[in-house]
Amino acid sequence: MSGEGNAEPGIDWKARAEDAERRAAEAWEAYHRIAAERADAAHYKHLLESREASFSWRITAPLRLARLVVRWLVRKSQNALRRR
Amino acid sequence: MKIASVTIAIPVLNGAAYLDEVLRAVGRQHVDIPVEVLIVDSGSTDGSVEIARRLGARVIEIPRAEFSHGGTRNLAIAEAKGDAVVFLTQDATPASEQWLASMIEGFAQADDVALVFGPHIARPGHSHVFAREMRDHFRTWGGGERIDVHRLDRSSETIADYRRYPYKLQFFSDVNGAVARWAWKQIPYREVPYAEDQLIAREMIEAGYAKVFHPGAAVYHSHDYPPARFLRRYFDEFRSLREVLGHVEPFGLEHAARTVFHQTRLDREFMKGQGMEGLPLRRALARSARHHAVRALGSGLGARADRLPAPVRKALSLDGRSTFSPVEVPASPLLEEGPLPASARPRPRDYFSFVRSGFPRRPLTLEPAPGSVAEKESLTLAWVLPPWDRGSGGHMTIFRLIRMMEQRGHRCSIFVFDPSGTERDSGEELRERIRSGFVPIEAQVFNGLEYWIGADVGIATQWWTAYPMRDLPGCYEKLYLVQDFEPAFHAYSAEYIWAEETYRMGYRCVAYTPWMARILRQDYGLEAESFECGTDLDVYRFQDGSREPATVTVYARKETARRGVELALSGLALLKERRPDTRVVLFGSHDRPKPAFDHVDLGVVPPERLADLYRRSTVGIAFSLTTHSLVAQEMMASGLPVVELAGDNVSSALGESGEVVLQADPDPVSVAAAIEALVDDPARARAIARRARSFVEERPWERSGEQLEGALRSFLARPRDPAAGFSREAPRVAATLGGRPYDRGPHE
Repeated sequence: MSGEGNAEPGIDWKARAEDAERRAAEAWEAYHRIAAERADAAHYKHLLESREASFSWRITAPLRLARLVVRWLVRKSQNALRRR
Repeated sequence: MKIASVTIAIPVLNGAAYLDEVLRAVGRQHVDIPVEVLIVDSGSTDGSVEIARRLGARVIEIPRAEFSHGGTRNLAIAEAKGDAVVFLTQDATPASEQWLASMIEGFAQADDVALVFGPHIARPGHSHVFAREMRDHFRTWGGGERIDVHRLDRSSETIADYRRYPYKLQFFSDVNGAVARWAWKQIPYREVPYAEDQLIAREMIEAGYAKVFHPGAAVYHSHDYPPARFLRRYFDEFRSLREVLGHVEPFGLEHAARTVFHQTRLDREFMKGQGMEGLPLRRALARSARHHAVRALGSGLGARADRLPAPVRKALSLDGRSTFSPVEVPASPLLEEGPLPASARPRPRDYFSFVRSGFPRRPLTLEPAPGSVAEKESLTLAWVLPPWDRGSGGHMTIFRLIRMMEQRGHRCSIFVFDPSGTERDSGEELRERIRSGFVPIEAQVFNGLEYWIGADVGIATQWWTAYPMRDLPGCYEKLYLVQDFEPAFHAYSAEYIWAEETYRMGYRCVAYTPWMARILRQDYGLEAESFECGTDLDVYRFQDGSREPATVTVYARKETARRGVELALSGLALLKERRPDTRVVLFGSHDRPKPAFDHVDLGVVPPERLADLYRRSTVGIAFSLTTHSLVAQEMMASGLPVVELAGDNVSSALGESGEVVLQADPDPVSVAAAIEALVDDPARARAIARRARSFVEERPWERSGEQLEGALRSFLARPRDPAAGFSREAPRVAATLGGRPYDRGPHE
């Protein structure tokens, strides 16, 4: 099928092609922007997981758990005192 | 795909408790195609078979020993008459009369739908914990409310997502899920004791088939056991997941505490939403916490069952099984290997893995380019760079060129390829480092090549990067930005040969200096254009007036052997013997050289202070044994007369000796004489300095950008020269060792 034979008069194919190319380039740019955000999120998730998997983090786990419990108890007792 | 008939298959073993209810709900379904109900019973003794027959199901009876989750389902599909087989378990009751129609509608979503599944709803009266968990779990697909078609396309982005979070694509439950017969013929169930549904889903998804979640295909399905029974059930479940899929559930006091706390809080929100409060809420929360603690314990122990003695395993198992028997299942090629070429995936602590996977020799991977690409106003350019230190001159040039391309309307992205695995910063942090320490680029920056999708032109910028770039997909053209003859950065060694190998990969090159372009053309037969570098004239301002007497400033970057620092210092040592009043100022090195004459060493100096030093000095030395250093151009911009080494590398870029720099032969006597000539003849020095300033003024960075863009468009506009491309037969050892042709013959 010949493209020229089917060309509709009055349509600026060059402008259309340029417009399509521009939109493709914008999509390319948008992909990289979104991918960069995702890559950063994955990077920080990995950092967090690595830290939590480390020996030092694991041996200090009871301390953090104790801190959570103490904070929870303090908050509860403060709320109880406030209610009185 | 249109389904013309359907089979509902239910594996049964002593399922009388719910079987009647399940089959009656199946019987109430509204569909207009033939429906077959098939029961595969593995030795029930509670009347399940009689219930099934009474309600019109076809029953196949097998010995209990022959049952396996995968094998029995294969048998069911083989016996079934339907185009699709909808699996239920004996305690999963369709929640509406549209359940089956929804399953069939799932297959109609696309021609490649292999699997359809629906949500589970907690049975009325069962614990709130399940109701909340089921709701949250099935929200993963279509928000739990919409039909969700998912498949794994082969884009880098999708595969990267899949690797990070395979569960969303891999999950399939044949408690309530349907399999298309055509897909099963290609990929049957693996005959594994457990997790057969996860495996078949993984294999089908990785084969490119689609999977559909349909919220209308819901079933009532939940278990309500006492805590000890739950513990044992979770033990069995996670032992099996470990045996089949190798899944190891995290375990530990802190993890358990966090999980219990988090899950209980979610339960609280759920129950508050249901209007529960006060004492009933607190009691329910206590039950939640107990359940989640039991689950954490059971799953943690089950996943580590291999470490427990057999009697303990038996005691903990609801099935009474004392064994731990890992099952051989095929590895996932996508999860294990990935879409990127091997050379693009450096392995930690295996520095040269990218070279190893770079052989045998192969041509560049290129997409067929449409004719219009050369005329595109805005090209997309993806640059692959090695990591950098603050102040790296080579990177400054690359970032300036990227900025120039951006200012000329092109779109750029930057990928940092780090075979050593020591670059820990995120893409955004790297981008900030570029913007604050080098040039304010707009491009997005990625640490690694995981998110690569290609571009109109891919650009390698250093010899390491040429290896992965050769195989990366999605580029119409691949360019090699060659700033220097990098094999010479190494002794004649493996690295020399590997660096030189990149000149045989068939890249089209844009080289810094005509000298470098000529080497690429003449010695390696490549298509090569050249560009010149600009100078930052705002920082390096011209100073034509008086200077401090006999002060020689030397770029003494000892770490970079091609700067010939020892040669400069030898010449200066001679000069100091003749003229002890000469003041020598060294800069540019962390590894400070220690000449045997008095001197000042400033170490690494910021540009503004350096510019001031250039404006005060009498003579500048910045030697280059390969392409000339930009430090020389910065000295020239500041009005500092420069001594360089004589050679084609310098004169092809800076002209003959005495025009814009004075060139000395590479021996200490000539170097000392050249410095002395400039110190003793201020008028000549000033004339050279003025011509040098004009020279750099005529070469702004905009011109570099113009040259690079011109080379790009020229390459894109003309077909590749077959004689200048890749050759498997090219010599494997140095082409230019010692500056002369070497081993040009065929090599076995």
